Amino acid sequence: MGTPYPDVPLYRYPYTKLTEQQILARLTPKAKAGPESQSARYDGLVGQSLRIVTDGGPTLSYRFRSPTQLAVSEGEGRPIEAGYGALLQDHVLLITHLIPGTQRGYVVTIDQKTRLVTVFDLWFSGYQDKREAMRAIFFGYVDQPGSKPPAARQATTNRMEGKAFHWTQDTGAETLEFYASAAYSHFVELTRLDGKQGYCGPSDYVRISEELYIVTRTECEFSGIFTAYIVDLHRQEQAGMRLGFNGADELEYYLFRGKGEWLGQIAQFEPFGDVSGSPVARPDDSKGARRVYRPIHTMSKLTKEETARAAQKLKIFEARTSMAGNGSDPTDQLAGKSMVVRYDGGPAMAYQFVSGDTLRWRANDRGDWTEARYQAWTSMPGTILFGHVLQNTPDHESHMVVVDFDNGLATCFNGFLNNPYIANEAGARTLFGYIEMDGVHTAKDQRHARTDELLGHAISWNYSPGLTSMHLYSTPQTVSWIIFNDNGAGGMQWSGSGDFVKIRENLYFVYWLEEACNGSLGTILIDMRTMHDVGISYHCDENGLRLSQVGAHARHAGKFDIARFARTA
Amino acid sequence: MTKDLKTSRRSFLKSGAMIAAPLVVAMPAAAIAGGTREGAGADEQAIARLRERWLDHVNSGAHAEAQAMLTGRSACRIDENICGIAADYRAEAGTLTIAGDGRSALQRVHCTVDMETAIEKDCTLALMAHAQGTGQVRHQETRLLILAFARADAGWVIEDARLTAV
Repeated sequence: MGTPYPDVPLYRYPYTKLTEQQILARLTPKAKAGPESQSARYDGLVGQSLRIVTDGGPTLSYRFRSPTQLAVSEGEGRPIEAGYGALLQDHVLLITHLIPGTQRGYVVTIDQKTRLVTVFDLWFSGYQDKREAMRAIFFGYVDQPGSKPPAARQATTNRMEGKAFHWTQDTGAETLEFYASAAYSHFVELTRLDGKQGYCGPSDYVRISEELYIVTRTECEFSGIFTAYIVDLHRQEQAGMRLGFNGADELEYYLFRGKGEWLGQIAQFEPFGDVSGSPVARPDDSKGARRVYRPIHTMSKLTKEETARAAQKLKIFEARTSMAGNGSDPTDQLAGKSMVVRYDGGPAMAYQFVSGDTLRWRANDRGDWTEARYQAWTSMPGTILFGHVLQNTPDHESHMVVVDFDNGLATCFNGFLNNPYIANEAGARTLFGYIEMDGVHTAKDQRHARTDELLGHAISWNYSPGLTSMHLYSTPQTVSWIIFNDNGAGGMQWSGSGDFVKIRENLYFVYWLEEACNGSLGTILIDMRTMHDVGISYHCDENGLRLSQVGAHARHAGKFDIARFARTA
Repeated sequence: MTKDLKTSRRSFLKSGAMIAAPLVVAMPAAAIAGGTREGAGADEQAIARLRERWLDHVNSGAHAEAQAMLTGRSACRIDENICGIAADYRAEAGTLTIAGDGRSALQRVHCTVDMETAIEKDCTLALMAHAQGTGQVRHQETRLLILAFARADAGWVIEDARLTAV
């Protein structure tokens, strides 16, 4: 039995592969009793009957017997007794129940002013990881005898895109939720988890009105838990439900209310006038089909021995990849120079720069000099980023170094392989130090330092035609990235751990780790004045160990006000 | 880039094995006998029909069918990245020249070419883009389409189609 909320990153947690029998056994008592709720349920439905008609989806006939028990007929089927729960948010009802004896259930929202309905048809065992909740969305209306069906329908939208809230639920759970994509959301669990790492999941956004929306999230690749709620933007409230199996394999099925705290609005990049939703095209027309980013399943995973063999095939700054289509040209300013970079708690790295792309290095004044291919780029005057691999080191290390000649300082992102989870996945440590070099004044008592100045910022990066992402720096340890769709809508999103170092005003050295997601270490030196970066990617797979250039044009998309939630201890 | 486009290409692949011999647009007997003013007009109409049919194939993603219409031994290979050609017949260069012996013709047509290129899957972001179905880059180029026609025994055929810089 595991823990409900892991103390390791979610992508490291070995979620149990629950069987259909295990899932059904856990669902059965809740299907009869209905969801739990800390807040008062809505009891205004008791004694009423409702018939809900959807386009291409189920027709649901309800009779509400009590605040917790109903009878439901699917289509022309016989009535089934089930537990349920309902909440009212302004004039919008949220009702949820399971179908006893099955792995299915529903969330139904009803706009009582318009009779318009959105139905989320939920089920388990629809994917290879059976614990992952599946959903299909249907739009419809409440059928009233003698009344014509309304012509309008609710629809998915991008109108929630760019917003973020700090939610405090009646369960005590506190979460930062960022709706920076129109197809995904990013969440930082402040109470269930340690609040240091943000995660991503596919989301749905449905417009009820300009101030009321329905938001869902499925924690795909992790627990598979499904959450759906109504967001009331002006009241800053949410009313919703949660269904799924936590890290201890316990079924969580409950209603919740939450109080929100507005965190801001960042830019959207769709053409003006485009408010469409669901920007990621469905893979097919099967029920509930959607594209889900599943990097844990798709990434190349090598053993330590395979990694050692791959690391012998060095691919150092070969042809530019698509990550460097807008990259700067390298500089040969270091050619002919020598220096020593002394890192706190790390090596003293002696360098002889033989040419614009060849250096010799030696650590701690010991051993022979080792020749390595490198490349360097200038950023703000007096700063250079260079990188190289430390060949024949046990963990196939790399150094991506910002040297700051004006201050005699250096900061290194030290990449390494053989992490305990996936051998070819990169890890990184941050080394602060100073330079000893002829003609350079060295301030031995100063260092570059970590910063929270980028916290909450969102910056888009256009690497090459058709390849644009946006970074969201959601915690002092998280970099999340979003891929845009053709129309500029935010699409798929993922995140990993990162680090942020201030080199000087408006110049930041940042890394992100593509943990359980291709395993790359990305390092960029961000110039917030030119809105351009220079950077290096470090990656190992069966094709070899690769250092490659990163370079993109940036746009500042805005900033969320989240500094008070930062946890660094 | 769009699902429709991919669908049309898939449709083509399914039917690709049915490609037949080069398409020939049969001429009215009077036109083949040729040389008269009416005959020249019929030639122009036949060539226009042939050209539009070729463009239809290109624009529907049926590249192999379009390629099969080109009868010349050294005919150009149609660029796989082309996903649409919009001809502008109003432009000055949109001229059709029929040889004096009525056996060949050359047409130059200004056009806008839609190109679609797959982003190389060489980084995480590119993999994500492909995963969400947007791993293609589209752009437009202004080109000159030069079509070479020949009159075979059974009628006009397209020998070659080349896109050149304007």
